[in-house]
Amino acid sequence: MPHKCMKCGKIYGDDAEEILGGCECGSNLFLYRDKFDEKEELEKERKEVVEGITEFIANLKRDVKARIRPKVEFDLESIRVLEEGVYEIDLGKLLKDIPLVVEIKEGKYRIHLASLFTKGKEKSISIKDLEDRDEE
Amino acid sequence: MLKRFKRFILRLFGKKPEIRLGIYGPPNTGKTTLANRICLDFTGEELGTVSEVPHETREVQKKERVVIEHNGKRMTINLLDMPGISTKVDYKEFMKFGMKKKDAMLRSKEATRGIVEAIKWLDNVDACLVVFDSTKNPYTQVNVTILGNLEAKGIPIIVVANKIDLKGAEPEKIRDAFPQYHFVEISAKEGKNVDKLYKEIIEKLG
Repeated sequence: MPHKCMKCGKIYGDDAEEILGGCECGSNLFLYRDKFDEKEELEKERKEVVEGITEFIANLKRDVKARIRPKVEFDLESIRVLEEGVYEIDLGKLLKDIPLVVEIKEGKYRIHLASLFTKGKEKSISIKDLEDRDEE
Repeated sequence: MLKRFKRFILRLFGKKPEIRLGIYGPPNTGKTTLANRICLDFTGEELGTVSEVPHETREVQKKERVVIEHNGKRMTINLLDMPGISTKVDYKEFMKFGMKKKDAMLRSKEATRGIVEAIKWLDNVDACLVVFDSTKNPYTQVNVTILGNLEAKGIPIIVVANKIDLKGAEPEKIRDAFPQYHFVEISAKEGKNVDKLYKEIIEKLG
């Protein structure tokens, strides 16, 4: 049965001199392995290393991408003002329990606060909410 | 759940509950004509004005305690005529009917607000009549969205195929498109089959 050096991991057989005299790394502590399959152990370690590297590279790529292209995801608007007097209504979003958001023009939104505090159940707007004006 | 419990308790003590009946549908399908027909038949008064220009109803119109009757059975409804629901409101559409730009733009804003109001009221209706124009294609995003959401909210529905008096009306297309719902084909304008609708309301929504 094999013995594994607890410091350097080198494997020795039952009758190896090093078990009594000490490992070549200087350590005298050995771990007795009941059923040891060197190939299996190596394969397991290889997989762990590959997974570690893959994850590391993926994180790195994501971080770099986030730094290069910071993108704000905003897909909440229930009503889009295409031009004054022309409105596009997203019924699906209006029916969902989300706040009422009017996209006045590209990049400019009006969030209906009452619907925000009542989890979207209080959805009433005034005509002024559809106009492109500065807030008082 | 609470609404259903309240209705159950009322029934237990022999009291017939009043139901809030919302009339939903896309614009220009005859919702107000139907609401007027119901009100005229049972109260002698009309509810709202009808126009060929879309989005004539831009605020929820209410008529309380309308007692409808069919074959001796009665039911009290609070009728709610809703603004038409659409996915786009364009003032240019109103100008085609001779409306001035300023008025058309205001109507457009009011119509959009009306759509939001109509959807808000979904939380406060007990049952719905969903009115479609029998001369139009029933497979639209608006129709599917309205019906799907009413069903998801557990609101009882009667699909009403209106305008069967018009040439080219194909109410069977509406029935085939939404076979899972109670269905009545009518002409609200001429009063054709409205008796059948009253029967369905009392039997299926009461």
